[in-house]
Amino acid sequence: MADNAVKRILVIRTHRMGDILQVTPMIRGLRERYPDAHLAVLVAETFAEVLARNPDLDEVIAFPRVRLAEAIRNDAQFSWAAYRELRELLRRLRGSRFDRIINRQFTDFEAVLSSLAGAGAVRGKTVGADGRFCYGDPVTARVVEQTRQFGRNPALKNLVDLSMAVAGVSPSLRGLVFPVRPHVTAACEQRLREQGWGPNGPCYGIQPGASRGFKKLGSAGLAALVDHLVEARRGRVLLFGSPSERALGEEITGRLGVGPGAILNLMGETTLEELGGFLGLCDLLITGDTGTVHVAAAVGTRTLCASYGMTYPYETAPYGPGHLVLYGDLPCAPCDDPNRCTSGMACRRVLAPEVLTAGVDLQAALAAGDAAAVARLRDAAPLVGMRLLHTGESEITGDLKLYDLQREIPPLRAASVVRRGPVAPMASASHNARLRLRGLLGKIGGHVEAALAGFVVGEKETGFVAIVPIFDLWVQVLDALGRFQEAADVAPEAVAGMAVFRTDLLRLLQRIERAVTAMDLAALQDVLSMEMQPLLADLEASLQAVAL
Amino acid sequence: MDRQTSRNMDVLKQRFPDVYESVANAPMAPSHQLVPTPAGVPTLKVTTPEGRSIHLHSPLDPLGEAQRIAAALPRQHRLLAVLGCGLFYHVQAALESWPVGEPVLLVEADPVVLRMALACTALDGLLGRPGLTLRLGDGPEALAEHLDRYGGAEIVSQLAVLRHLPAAELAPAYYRAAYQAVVGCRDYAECRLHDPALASFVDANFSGAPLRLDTLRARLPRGGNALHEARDVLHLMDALRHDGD
Repeated sequence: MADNAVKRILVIRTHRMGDILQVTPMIRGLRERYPDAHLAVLVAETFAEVLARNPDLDEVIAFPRVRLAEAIRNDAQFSWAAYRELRELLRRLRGSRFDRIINRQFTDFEAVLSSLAGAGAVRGKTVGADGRFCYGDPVTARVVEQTRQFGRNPALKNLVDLSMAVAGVSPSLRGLVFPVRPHVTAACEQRLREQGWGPNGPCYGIQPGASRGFKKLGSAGLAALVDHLVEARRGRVLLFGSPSERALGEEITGRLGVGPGAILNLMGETTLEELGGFLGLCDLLITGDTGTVHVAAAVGTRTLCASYGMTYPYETAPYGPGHLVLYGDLPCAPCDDPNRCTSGMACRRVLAPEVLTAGVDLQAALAAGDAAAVARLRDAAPLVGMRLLHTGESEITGDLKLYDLQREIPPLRAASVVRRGPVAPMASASHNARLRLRGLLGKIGGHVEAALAGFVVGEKETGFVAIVPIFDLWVQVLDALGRFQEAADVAPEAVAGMAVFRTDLLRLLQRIERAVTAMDLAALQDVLSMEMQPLLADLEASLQAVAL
Repeated sequence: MDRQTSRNMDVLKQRFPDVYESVANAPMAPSHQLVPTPAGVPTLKVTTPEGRSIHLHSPLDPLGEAQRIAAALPRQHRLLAVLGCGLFYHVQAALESWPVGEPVLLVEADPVVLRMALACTALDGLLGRPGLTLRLGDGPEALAEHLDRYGGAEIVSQLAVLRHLPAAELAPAYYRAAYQAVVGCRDYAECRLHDPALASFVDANFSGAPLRLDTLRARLPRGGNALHEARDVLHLMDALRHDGD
């Protein structure tokens, strides 16, 4: 299908916070490749917040996946409620008439849904005409076949890069997308100031818990780690986690040798966006293979990720250069089922306090660009026998590359990767907003044209119906204009120019609304053709001309 | 028995004789105590066999709490089911804005609670209200039958359910089953409106028999456009049920 024929795209990635964040670069690539297309994501409502402020999306379709699954599994009786909700979901997807679905979920439900949604083409797992599961694109089919033959992901491709290959896109900015609004970051800073924490000294984040047992750091070694961070590295520590994990945080703080002023337990106290805000203020996050590690990567904070059990860093390492993954170098890794482990979970050695503290020191040496210190720490006792995977970027493909520090130390630059604060998303905010604005203006222009065409051929009602969606689009335009104006890298004169356009557009919309309400065909034709179309053209030209 | 209680019992006997029998024979239990509140009306404190105390209404302002519960009730419905009556404060508040004559189903699990409500609140007007039904301890099937009597799918599909949470805490199994029964009726009624072919098939093939996803999917005929969408939705349900993630 030619690019200009793709008008509506649905991405399916319904659950797991980290996995959802890992498709955001692909979504950005889709937005760049199809700037005028309607871009939607299907997600479980529990995780809709992850995408709520994603500037590349037109629509987030959330559905209660967990509740529906429970209703279907647990009811001795047939669940008419689940039937009704799934029927409505199916009708909504079919009514949306997607040209293309990119299913980045490997579960059966999403595969069936992708096959039933009536899209022209499906990439990813779906159901074929013979009723069997199949893979609707060569990339996914090849990876699945290779995995079947040679074991898990033999191409060692990170899921972010794999998603982009499946979609056939390569965005100009490859980072994960999780915007944090400036006022949220400011509130997080204020909270730290209230704690008496100034700008001096490093700030460390720790997330000990995880949604699944084999991804947790646990609490056993963390007290020693916190002591090291506070005493030896003169830092302060933020504990992150869900409300249900708060007791775990209290257990950790209860064991500490350091004073209470050096640690702040935020478990269960932050929204997802606030988590991003606090992470943006950290110098380093220490955690397992959790969703939080990907939020940290998205906001530009380095991570130290302890990976073991079923997790496989070649697939799920935090995306972007400068992260360090500690990984047990065992022949059984990654395993298929930790519950059937016969080696006493030797891979959990990555959680030992001395390993984590050595990992923190190693990460600091990497960030400082100190190759000699990196070599010394790598060869010291705690990290021997451990795979030390340092993330970088392939010069050839631009894909994520994992350097095994036991084998090679890549060229290091001081603070080459790591920024303090949410630099990565904000740097691209105006770019995203401009793309989005252009897409929206294109849609509004299309509706205006359709309305005028309807009037010309005498289909008055068709013309009026065609114009109605622009009021919804207008809300999105306001949002995109706001983002554009808020972006730090937009020149003041461009901000002022956009404010004038905003006022003019609003005035025109009010006149259009009045004409539609009164069914005043002549007034509507005038305002659309004489004023709206020229204004849209001016705005489009201004967006192109704005120096970003 | 005071005059107010007597009036309440008279109306109950006249409108719901089977409920009257159960209430009249219910012993006054020391586990149920009326407790005065600063707002002037009492709340009901129930001590469970495990020794836990549950207040069925706010110990500070039961009437204010009732108003807040009623305010959260969705409008634009044609049938109301209240699961758990307590001392009826929230029922009275909800019915203030409910059109007289529109059907209302009140469900209570505990005859002692009902007896104490009749002893302390003027309920004769409420119990005599046209369209109102009071059921005591009815099982899911009986509740479903009552809902069916209210009329066609068009009405039952517009059911609003008010769950009195303290009552649900007192008898969780009963009220969970009651909730599933009334909501199941509503969703099936909705299906009758939007999937008449599937509803006809279910009526014809599963009358009186428990309906399960497996059996419904297995017995649904393969041909026929009218059931095409239903087959797809059942396929989705099956996939989600077997989804291990």
